[in-house]
Amino acid sequence: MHKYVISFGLLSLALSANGTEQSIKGIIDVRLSSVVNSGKSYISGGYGKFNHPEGLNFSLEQLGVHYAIDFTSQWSANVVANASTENGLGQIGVSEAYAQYKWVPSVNGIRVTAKMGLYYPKISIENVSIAWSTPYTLTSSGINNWVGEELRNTGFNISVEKLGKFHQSEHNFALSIDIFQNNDTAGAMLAWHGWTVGNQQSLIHQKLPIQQFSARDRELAFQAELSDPFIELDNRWGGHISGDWSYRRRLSVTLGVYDNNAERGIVKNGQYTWDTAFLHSAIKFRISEQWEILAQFMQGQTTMTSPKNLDLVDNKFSNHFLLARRWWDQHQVAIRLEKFKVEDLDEIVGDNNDEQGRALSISYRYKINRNVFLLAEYSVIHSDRWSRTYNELPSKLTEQQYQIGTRYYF
Amino acid sequence: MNLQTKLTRLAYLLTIYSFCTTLAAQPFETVVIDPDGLPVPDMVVYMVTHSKHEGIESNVTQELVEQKNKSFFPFVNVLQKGQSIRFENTDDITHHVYSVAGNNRFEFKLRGGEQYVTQPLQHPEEVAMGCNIHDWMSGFALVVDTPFFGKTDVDGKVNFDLPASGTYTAFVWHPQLEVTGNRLSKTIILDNKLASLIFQLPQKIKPASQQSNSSEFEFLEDY
Repeated sequence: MHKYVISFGLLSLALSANGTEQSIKGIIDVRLSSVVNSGKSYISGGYGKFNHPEGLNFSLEQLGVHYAIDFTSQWSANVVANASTENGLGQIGVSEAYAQYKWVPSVNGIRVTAKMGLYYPKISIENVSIAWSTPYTLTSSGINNWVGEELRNTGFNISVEKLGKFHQSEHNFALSIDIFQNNDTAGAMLAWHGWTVGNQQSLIHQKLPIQQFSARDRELAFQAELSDPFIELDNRWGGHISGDWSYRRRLSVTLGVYDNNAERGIVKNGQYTWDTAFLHSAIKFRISEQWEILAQFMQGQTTMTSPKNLDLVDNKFSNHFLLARRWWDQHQVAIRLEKFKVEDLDEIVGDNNDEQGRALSISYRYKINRNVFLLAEYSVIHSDRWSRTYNELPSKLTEQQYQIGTRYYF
Repeated sequence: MNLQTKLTRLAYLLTIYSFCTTLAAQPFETVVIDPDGLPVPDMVVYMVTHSKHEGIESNVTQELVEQKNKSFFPFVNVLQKGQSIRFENTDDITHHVYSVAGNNRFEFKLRGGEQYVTQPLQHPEEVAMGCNIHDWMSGFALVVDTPFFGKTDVDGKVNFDLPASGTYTAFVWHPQLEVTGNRLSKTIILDNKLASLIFQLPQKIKPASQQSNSSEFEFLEDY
């Protein structure tokens, strides 16, 4: 499946659709951020764990637009476009493009939804607002920042839900299955820059700069300068399956398995296949009317092999976070604690991806009116990552970020 | 005046008398109370007559159900067979309203500020309504095959103007009334003495609905 054919096909379908219902929703997020003790951001090939570089930055963090056309009450075509400024460089493009058919429930409360195109695998419980933004904090957690950076399905999803209210039950169940392509390099950035905190949403045309380390002059010399996160190299399909259980609107639990099923040892134009698989889980619990807890966990492995079957990169990774938030009147306060790890299992010298660390974010949100919010956030990441020494930075580092921002939803 | 003329007049008078008796509306009050004796509002009460009454017109007005703050308002509705429901979305977001069970089915998307009128609902039964976008939204309509229906007010009362004589069955219905068919009934013979009826529910009705309006952030998507 070709990602550009799908996205431009849907876009032209959308633009030529006459007499159908069309809608536009969007978000504008503007920030002032100050980053301390971080150096060059991972986004431009450094090891800084925030998406802003050291110093004071003014940025259009996100201009996200979700354009949808309803052909019928159940058929829709959707295109999500995003624009942002990163280190003074502008990025604009498509992040998702898909067609969806959502049936109404059956008499038994079974509802089927089918999706086809380019879309996010359902993993994040933070990024639940327009154009995959998170309403809770200014930054996404490490897990979801990586999902935004390297994961995107080009494929098919079918989800089956059982709605309890049809049986006077408070319990809902859902099963979701994806088969996808164009995610053969997923894992490269996670291995080479480790876990990061920010608002990354790679656009489908975007290529991502890779950090400088000495193995790139030797065993990894064939690796391209930029990683293409959404490319098909082996013509194999990957899979993702997840299950949900929710009780009333108070508690939801998700468990999922993702495997891009990449065939090891393929390299084309400097892009290697990365065999990446992980488990993920999430819990969302509304403790009371104004208290909520969100938690996610992810654990997996990514392996990149040479055509001669030598493991060039073999990394285990794990991450979990806990976010507690409380809201009252116009206010919301959120605190998020994260713990993350990458374990390097391969023998390649000059590419040590071992990492462990913790992160804390404290966020305050003020609702000016229904559509406009002011936010302030402090984040600190303490991590130990050997590969920073390749760039003459200390292995152990405590990076901090102060941000104020305003978000307008339309 | 001969006997035949007298008898004719008497028959005529009797006809007028019985006609007047038939059409003379009699106020009749039903009260719904909970096990503690407290009035229960928003209960559907309807009366089914056992005899034919001529000249009673059917309701043809549209029953208004709003989509307001991501909930169906009112939560409980009642209408006569042949009436339509007019859905009015007063939110500024789209709702996808459906009724998927039984014989009164409909399904449509309704953008903010727009309205939709269903076909006349021809089947007396319970209609469970939902939104395919906001799963927690739910609402109910009971379609009844009688012109005598209403919902209890804050005092738990519904007042009817019934034809003055005959046998009736009175029903009380609520989607959360946990008895067979979600309803209770009593059969009464209406004469000039009986002017009210009290229904005591075997249990309390749960809070109005599980629909939640407390949203501190309104731009959630289906991710």
